[in-house]
Amino acid sequence: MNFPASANKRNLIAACAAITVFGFAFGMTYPLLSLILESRGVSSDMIGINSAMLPIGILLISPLIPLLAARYGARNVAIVAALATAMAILSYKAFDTLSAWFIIRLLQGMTIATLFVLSEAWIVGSAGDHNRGKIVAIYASVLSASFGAGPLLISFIGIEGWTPFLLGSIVVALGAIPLVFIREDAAAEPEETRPSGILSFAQKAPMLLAAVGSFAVFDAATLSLFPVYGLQNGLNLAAAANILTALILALRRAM
Amino acid sequence: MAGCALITALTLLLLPVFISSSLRWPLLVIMGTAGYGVYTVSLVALGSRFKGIELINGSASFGIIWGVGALLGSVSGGLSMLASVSHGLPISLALVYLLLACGVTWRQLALQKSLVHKA
Repeated sequence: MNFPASANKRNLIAACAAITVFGFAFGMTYPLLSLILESRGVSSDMIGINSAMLPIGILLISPLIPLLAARYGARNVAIVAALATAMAILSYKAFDTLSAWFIIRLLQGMTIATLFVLSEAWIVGSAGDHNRGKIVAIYASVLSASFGAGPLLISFIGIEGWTPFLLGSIVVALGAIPLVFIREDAAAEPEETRPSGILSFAQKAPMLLAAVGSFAVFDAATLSLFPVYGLQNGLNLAAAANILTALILALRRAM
Repeated sequence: MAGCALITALTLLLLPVFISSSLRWPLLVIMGTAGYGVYTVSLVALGSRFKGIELINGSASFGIIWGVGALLGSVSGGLSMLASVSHGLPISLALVYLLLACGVTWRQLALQKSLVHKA
């Protein structure tokens, strides 16, 4: 996959935009919804199960993303996914019941996974051997900054009313604009290849998958439950939301 | 990688001790750096070890494993807090990262051993 340098740069920027959308929506909705549910007296195991709808959505859509991208174009799919994510954030407030949130979180998991998988394909496709460490570090910093911005926003504007949902939705919609500038022919096209599946990969790199799995457990549990953990251990609302900001704004760098 | 996992586990175990003091902020920053570092290191390793079809296959596998892990994390995290409000969550997450540190170390030792045998 050798692309002209300008197309590489363009796609890298666009992919970072997609990742910003992904990270912000993810970083914001986890503590926002958890804190709202906590304020209504929903138990912590139910909050955890509700949060789990997001990864279920990610699991359901992941095998389909290459097919969708091949059929409609990766860029178009990513734009639709970003706009759908913005709609999903608004619909939490429009359909404000625990049972509706199970469905919306499932759908948001699907749209966010689509953004995530496509961005990572673009980033991996544009990274050369000599600067892969640098590119992954940029990718990780952008992701971590946007992740951290979500809970930080919550600590400023609180969890009441339409404001957090409107602001979140607008930021996500704005983040979709750079995707329009992606050069489709230079993007890593999933349909060019026939992946041999997760089982064959697991045989080659079992510890790599174990590491990603462990990270995901840590990531999801801290994102959904650390603010609640803070509240239940005597912190106020702002400090509880900032627990996530401190955790996430930590420098994410390759060693 | 094993170092990152070990540091994360240690900071998690210290969290209940420092949650109500301002020392929680530096602790959380170290925890975040090491905890997320595991994923960054994994991505770099994926990119440097695999090319072409296998790279995309690996990226898709990362996505699937990430979904499974996040699912387990959300549910088991909630359950662990029911078991103990102050200790359940940090201890259960520390166990996950300790297991990873052991697994990575074991795998590296096994690979070194096989290289020595070949040499």
